[in-house]
Amino acid sequence: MMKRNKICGILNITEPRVAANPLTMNRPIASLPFCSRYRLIDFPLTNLTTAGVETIGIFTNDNLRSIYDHVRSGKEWGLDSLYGGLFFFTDYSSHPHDKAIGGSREGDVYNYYNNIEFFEKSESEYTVIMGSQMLCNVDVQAILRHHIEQGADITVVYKSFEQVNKEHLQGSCLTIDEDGRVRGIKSCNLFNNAGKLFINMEIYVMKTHLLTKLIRNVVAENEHCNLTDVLHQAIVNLPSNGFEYTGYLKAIHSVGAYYEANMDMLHDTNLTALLKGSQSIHTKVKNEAPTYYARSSKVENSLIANGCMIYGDVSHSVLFRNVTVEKNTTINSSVIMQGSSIGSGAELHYVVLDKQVRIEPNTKLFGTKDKPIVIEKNSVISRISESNLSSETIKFDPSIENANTFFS
Amino acid sequence: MIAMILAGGQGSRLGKLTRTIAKPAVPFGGKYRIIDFSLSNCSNSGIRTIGVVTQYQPLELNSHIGNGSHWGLDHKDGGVTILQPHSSLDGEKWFEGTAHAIYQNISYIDSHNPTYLLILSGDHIYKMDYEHMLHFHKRKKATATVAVIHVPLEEASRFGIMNTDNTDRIIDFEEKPAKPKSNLASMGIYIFTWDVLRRYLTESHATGQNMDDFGKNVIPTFLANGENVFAYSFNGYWKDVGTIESLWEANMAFINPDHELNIRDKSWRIYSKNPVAPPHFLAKGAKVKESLIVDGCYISGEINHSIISQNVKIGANSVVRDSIVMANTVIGKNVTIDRAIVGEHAVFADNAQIVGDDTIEVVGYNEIVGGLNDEEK
Repeated sequence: MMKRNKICGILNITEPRVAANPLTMNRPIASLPFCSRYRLIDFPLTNLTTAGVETIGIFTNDNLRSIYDHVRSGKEWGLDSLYGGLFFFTDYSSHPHDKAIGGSREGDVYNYYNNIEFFEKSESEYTVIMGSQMLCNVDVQAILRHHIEQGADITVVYKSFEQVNKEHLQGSCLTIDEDGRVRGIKSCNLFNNAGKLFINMEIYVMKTHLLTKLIRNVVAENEHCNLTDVLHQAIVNLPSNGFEYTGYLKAIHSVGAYYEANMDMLHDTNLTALLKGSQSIHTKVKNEAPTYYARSSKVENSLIANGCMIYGDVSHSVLFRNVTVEKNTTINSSVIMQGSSIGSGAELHYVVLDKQVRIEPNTKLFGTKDKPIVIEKNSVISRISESNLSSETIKFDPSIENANTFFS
Repeated sequence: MIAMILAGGQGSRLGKLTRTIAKPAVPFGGKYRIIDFSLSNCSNSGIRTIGVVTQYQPLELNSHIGNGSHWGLDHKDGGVTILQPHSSLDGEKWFEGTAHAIYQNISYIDSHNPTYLLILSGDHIYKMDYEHMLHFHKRKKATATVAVIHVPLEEASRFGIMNTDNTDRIIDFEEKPAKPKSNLASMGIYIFTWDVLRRYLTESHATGQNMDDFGKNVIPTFLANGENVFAYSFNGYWKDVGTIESLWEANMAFINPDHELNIRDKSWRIYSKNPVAPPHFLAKGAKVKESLIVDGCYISGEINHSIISQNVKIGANSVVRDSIVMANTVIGKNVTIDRAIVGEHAVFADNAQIVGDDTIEVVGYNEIVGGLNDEEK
């Protein structure tokens, strides 16, 4: 039992999305489809609501359509109740150029400042701040308990890694002493290879009035920065504690990391840690028929969503909803998003297909483990275009087939 | 037009499967319950007010339907209302039959003041646009319209048979006739002009000649009184899954991707309450052929011509053939299941065997199969 409105949640999804292009060309990282039926935003949303958070503010500087289409009233997460609910705050002042690079020149802290009323109206004692780029399944109640017990001003969540992993280099790492106190923070790539790394997961808990104070101070000093910069500074300047997370974590900083995260889910330990643990992840419900496996199909070691029709061979792959795999196809080590179809005789190895891609019969695509081939949404790939594709990220002329992009 | 779904039937011929739940709540096709078809048809036909009349073992059914939001039926005005028998100053009001259930809920129907009343049973598998039937009812200036389907003449004596003239007017009705004169079987779907039906029901009740059943009492009384009663012919898939054999057969046929029901048709979706579950996983060594599988399953064994519902686990070297496995069942290793219907939450210990022959084996909900402990051995 928790007092109503004790804690309010911030989904800070102003993450720069250029990293996972072309998958993030037309959608923020938060709405990247993941593991057959989820989107990345499902994880923080579920973590917050499972912990009893009833008021959640989504702060973004980006195209809201795919987020809003997915989240709507927040009903799937129980957020359409009399109390609290979901609130959307977009950085309406940001320039088109800023949007393209995924961040405004002034910094997103002004978006928080302009909407500071949200924090005051929520009347919550504590605020939890999360993003969607750090794919994880955290127990927000446990973090809050830890925060209250330790009595620090700010609690920041980290995960400890034995050695440097290239996709973490873009994030920040913490220096934490034996008492769990945060002593410093710097970019992970500034750490040398020796010893453990404490990856900052960009999840923070603090008193709501402290957060509003930090935002007001920055704006008063006319500084241009992002909320994450403010928080990075604050955890060093104010008494702050680390909370160690030991579950599955992947920082989605690149297409490679995105691909690996999907492949990770083919291992039961990862799937259980992220999706089958004590908190089952909620997502938008779609009414799809069961998936049909034909006599000619052969599927092993794969995750498959509802609504698929499978006549060919699929191994070591992740298939989203409504994917059609025709006869005599081979799909191996690939991620096939919703509504794509793979023609007969086609062969895909190490490929990521965005939504509604059509692979014509007998097309063969060979990516590599480190550089999967990525095909943009709504593309049509035939044997003729296949020769132009190397194991690089391919950009497609969106005019080829751009119908029906609105209802994603 | 508002709809009343009669979902109170026990479906006793389904044996173990309806011991604890009503027939409309029996699972079908891997991720549906039988009543989903009527509810989805209502939603797709634009009907916004639906009363679901329940009586027998309603718990599962009530929690399934909830506020109707899963079918898009959680409207501000109307929506889905569960109507259960209740007591009053006149005594207890158990529903004695289909028409009696309507009579007992007159006040609910009156509160929505409909011109037409659609009456459905919650235990058939079909897709139907009730709007078309209403147009027919209006065009024929009928006071009662009965949906009928052509059945093979040799099976006609199992149904209520309508004899019509060449304008589709029903001139004669026979309940399960030994020598059927036509093959137009009643589907248990009726549209009534509400004030007419209301008058017949209340008058008969006032005179003590209760009309308890639509087929046996109401339609014959309408005919006897010269009301305009018409037969609306339905062409398409319609199945009464009232027995273990017919439920099994209907499910097995449903696996075929070219099935007449066309479940993947986006323009007439069948909705259901969808539990939260991750995608299904086919492990190394899994062999799945000619089968339907839904979210949350973990499959290591061999599945042949079967339907596997949500969150089922099937261990290595187990074989499931020509069977239906309902949600949340756990099947160990080296298990054989052949020609069977397995209820929800069943547990199969390693090496267990359930093999049906001419009669389909049924494993009940929560039943445990195999796995004798040491003492029992």
